[in-house]
Amino acid sequence: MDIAELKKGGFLKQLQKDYFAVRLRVAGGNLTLEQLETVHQVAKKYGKGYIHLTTRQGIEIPFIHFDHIDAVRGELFAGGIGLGVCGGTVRGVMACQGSYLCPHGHLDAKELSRQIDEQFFAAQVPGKFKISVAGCNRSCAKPQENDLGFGGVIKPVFRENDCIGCGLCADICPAAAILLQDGYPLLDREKCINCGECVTACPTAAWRQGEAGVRVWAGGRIGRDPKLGEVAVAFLPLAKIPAAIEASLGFFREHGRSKERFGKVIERIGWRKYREVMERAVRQDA
Amino acid sequence: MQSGKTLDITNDSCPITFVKIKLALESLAAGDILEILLSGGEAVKNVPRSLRAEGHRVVALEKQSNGTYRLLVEKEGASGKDS
Repeated sequence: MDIAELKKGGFLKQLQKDYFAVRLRVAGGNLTLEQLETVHQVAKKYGKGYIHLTTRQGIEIPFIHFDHIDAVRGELFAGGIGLGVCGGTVRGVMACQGSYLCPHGHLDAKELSRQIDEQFFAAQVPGKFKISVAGCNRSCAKPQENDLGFGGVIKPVFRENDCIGCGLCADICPAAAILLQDGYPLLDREKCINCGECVTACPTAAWRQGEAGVRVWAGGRIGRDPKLGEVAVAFLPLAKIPAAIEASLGFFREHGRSKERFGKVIERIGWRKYREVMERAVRQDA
Repeated sequence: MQSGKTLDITNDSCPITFVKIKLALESLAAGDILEILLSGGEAVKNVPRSLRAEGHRVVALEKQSNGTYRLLVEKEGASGKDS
């Protein structure tokens, strides 16, 4: 077992001779108590009495000796936990709590992160590739700091019969897209940013959620040259998410240099070209 | 519409707002109207919506000249409810 192979499998070499920090596979920051129990047991048996919470909602178990690597891997697998990844791969997918429990959420971010993890985790690409999913435009899961980020957006629909004319939607719309006309709201769909604040705030559910989708940001990263991602697709239907990821990974593989970040690749090749690739991939009839 | 009871939470923030409203509603009977005075911003975005989510009926919401809001809510459980 060589070091490169170890690294691919989520074993990070420590300063201390023959010791590794073991990165675990976590999607959306959720672990069941059974999985947590497994982490506890493995860390207690082979580690040094603590675990490390990573910046990407993951877990690393430090101070695993080289001699115990196979045992650790086997016991984690038996307890329903896979190993994380390093290097040029699709990393663990982050997510906020999303619409499953957050009053602001317009997207089940945990579920989407689970699906993305299932389909794309550890996929090989030239450099590290980080994905995050946020339930709404409050961006708690920081999608703009990721190579590819998704944020829940919706198209609001209005039912006049339920409206009490309070005007709250017009007051709070961050895009000033709602004006009151004869006491009732009128939405300018050109101005609407699909954030869903009107749907969330409406006290009588006169504003309701219509079509749901995601906003897609690309090219974000922190690292040595931090930059927020740019909007690649303003409103992407949920069913097109896998195609958008596939197209982005394909673009990265075709144009990326070893260890280059996705955003740098887009900047070098051109946003226009990347957006063309995305548009082709997510067309409704595709 | 007249209300039986008034609650002023313009100086409170979440989650104190919710606790005060919950206690105020507990002292009312089904179908009674509670008048709530609340501040703009997060409170008015969240309070009326969450009252609806808990089954109460938002009867009216009016912006006051000083930027605060006056909310009338009917306690859940009244007969002839339309939703």
